[in-house]
Amino acid sequence: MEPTLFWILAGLSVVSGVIAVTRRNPLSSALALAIALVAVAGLFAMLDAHLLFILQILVYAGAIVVLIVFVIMMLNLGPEDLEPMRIQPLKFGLAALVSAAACGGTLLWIRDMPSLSAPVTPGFGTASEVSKVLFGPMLLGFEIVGLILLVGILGAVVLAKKED
Amino acid sequence: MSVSFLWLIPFFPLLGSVVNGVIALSTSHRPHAAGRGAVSVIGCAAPILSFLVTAAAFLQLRGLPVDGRALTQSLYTWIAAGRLSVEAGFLFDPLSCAMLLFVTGIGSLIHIYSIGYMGHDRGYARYFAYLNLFTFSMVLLVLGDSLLTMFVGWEGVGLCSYLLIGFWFGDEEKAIAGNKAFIVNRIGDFGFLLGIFLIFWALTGDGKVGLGYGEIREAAHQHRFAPGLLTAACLLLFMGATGKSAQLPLYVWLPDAMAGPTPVSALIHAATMVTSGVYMVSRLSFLFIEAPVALTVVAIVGAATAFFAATIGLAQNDIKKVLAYSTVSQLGYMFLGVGVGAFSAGMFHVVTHAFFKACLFLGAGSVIHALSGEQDIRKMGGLLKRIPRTGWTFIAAWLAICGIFPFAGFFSKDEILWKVWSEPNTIIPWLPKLLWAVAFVTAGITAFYMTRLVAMVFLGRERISSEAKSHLHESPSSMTIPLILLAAGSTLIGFIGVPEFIVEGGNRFHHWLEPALAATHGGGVHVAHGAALEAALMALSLLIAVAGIAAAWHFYLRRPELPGRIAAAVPGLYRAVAGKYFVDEAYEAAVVRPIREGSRLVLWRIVDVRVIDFAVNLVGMLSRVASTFVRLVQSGYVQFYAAVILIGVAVLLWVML
Amino acid sequence: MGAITLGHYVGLAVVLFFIGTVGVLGRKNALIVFMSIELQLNAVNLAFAAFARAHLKMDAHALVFFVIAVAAVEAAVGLAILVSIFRRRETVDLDDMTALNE
Repeated sequence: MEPTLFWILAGLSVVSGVIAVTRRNPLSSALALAIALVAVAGLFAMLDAHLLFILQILVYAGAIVVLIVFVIMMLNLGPEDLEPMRIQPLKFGLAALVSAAACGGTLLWIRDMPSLSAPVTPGFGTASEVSKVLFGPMLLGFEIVGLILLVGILGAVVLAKKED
Repeated sequence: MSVSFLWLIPFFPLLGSVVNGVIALSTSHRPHAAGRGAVSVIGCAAPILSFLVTAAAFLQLRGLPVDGRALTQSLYTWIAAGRLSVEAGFLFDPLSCAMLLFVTGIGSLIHIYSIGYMGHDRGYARYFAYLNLFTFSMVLLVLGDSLLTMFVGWEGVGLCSYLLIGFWFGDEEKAIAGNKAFIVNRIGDFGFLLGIFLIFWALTGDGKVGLGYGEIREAAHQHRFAPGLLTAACLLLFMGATGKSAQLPLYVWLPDAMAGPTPVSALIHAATMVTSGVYMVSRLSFLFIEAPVALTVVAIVGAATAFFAATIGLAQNDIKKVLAYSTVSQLGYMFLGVGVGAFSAGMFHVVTHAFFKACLFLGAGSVIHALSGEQDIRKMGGLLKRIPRTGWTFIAAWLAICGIFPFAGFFSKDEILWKVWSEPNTIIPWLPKLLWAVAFVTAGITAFYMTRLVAMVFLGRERISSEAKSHLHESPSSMTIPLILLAAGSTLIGFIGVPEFIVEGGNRFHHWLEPALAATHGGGVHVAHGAALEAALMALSLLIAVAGIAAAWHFYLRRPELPGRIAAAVPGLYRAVAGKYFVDEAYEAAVVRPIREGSRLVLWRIVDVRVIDFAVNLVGMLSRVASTFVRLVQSGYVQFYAAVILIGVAVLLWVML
Repeated sequence: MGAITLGHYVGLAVVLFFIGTVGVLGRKNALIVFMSIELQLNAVNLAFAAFARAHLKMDAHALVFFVIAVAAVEAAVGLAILVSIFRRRETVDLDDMTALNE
């Protein structure tokens, strides 16, 4: 059961990822991206990362994708706008070739990896266990992330404001 | 003996300066706003409080045994770098005590005088801020216990002098006079600084060097300085003194410094700051006494300045200019005194001079005030009846500077003359007699031109313009009371230094300073076999003073047409004297213009344009050529940048793993 | 099909990352480049979660938390920048945005 589920989710994420980077219309890309993100969320669940699963659905598939879709609709690019931004075979092909080579090299390099058969410790991946790390050794980082969020909000407001 | 209250002496003026400075800044846009009362109270309370602390310290010092007469206070480690480790600290010994008593005492009187004199000025608060800052710097100069602390005060008084000479900076001539004072002083200060460096360099040893007086004195006693080095260091230090104390060849700034308000001339350019060179030489007497060549140079420069400035004083017509040249001349006297090793005699003249010259300057200020700004003595005359309080105090100070018994100048000038005569010179045996003759003649000239001044201002026929006459009035009591006190001082202060041959132990000033000064080779203050000679010389100097007064009296009161005829008889000499020997013009031609022209023709046209600019342009050109290749990389395509980042990460991973 | 190992998860993460890289380097549309970056971030998150599972340690989960938070900020600011550029230049074509070379 488990390997089957993994392969289904893996295939789903790869296929929708490829779709996401190849569409001319950004709206199609956004939908494909959403599917890929949900598939990754499923993989998080299989890895017993319960909190990450929730966050992935909420923040990524939810908030961020919705924001992207929102912006796409706001810009409202028509076919005549999208035409010049279609895939240029040479550039895209070169990028794909280089990436494929790098990908292959990396895959060869990580061939030997341990199995995941060890039973999970009680509470692994739950909110309370993640919090113990977040509010323990990584407290400073947590605070800084809060600050970054604040600055980001302010920055977004300033940037998006219409100039008089 | 270590005490903890000495810091109060400089602290009060500093506080006053800060507070007045804040008031000046905050009221600069409404100059006639309230706050003058507060400024006056703060400005005058600061030096008065300092004076009271100084007096208390003086009483405590007097209670100590002669050998241990020094109060010290160490504040903190100021500079610690390598071999140098300077402590910020204060030293209150008989020498700094004598100096501080009159700096803060006469300073207080002049502050009070300023209330009346500057009362109508727009920059009232600014004026008091500067004046307090000056008092602070001067106290620091005197009270510091190391050469570097003295240097800070030394530069501080120079700065305040510049600020106050150019106080009315709206007038370009006055602003230029301030610049001149500052620049000429910088030349001297440069030498002073080099002298400090030399001493630091010479103080080799295992331990740290703090440049404290005690340390230098110890080294001098152990003869740890090479003689040539010591002479060079002393000469460089004296170069600083020639700048600050207006000696040949750097005296030119002092007459121009009269552009400042008159109380400033009295405080800074007569009583206190300009005597700091004499103080410095006396403070380092243990060093100078080991360098007889340097000391001889000091004496020669002093005598030459005394004579030179006195002759210029003969033909000046500006009341303050006469006093300025007289100050330069009297400073020459002081250096002559310390130059022959009579440090206490030099310091004695510093003290008496502070009283009578401050009184003369403040009296001149009162005259100028009474005549609504008139400074030309040809347009004065007969003022004794009009402004009697100013007149009579001026006359007391005049008698003091002429050296008439029993006024203060008599004792101090006479002690210097006697010392010049009696102290042997190891380098040029006949020099003392020559110096004495110069100083003796100078005394006569001094009496002459000071009498001329008094005669033309206060006696004789009135030559006042009718406009000035209508406003003629005696100055307010805030100005006359300091005058009266200073006149009393000019009259009586000499009795702290009565010659030993008259009263045994009468020279109390000398005995007071004795522990702080180096002993001269010629022995103590009393040369037993010379009593008759000393008395004879004293009578002689009194005689020449009277002769000078009588001659001037004859020339300017009985036969006023005579001076003009004499001037007409020797036109060349008269023009040279009235033109101040054209020293300013000579400096202009020999120093200022070559520097200016050299800067323009060589430094600007060739060095700056051809060398420096060329080098800069070359660098710019090279970077432009190099960047034409490099800029190809910076295409602006962000995806290219991303690819480069990726490659970079890949390479890093390759290297690291 | 054999058991799923850590290698499978990390391999999947690598594949997803380079799919994203193709999008980042190969496309002209800034919006799609933006989405590709999100895909890359997700690939990294997946690798983090897999390693956390293998080592049974929670630290990597905290890191993923940070990545998600920063990604959210990046989305907000990045999209705001895109919007303001579009407002001014009427384009989201990266090849038209070469002001950095000046």
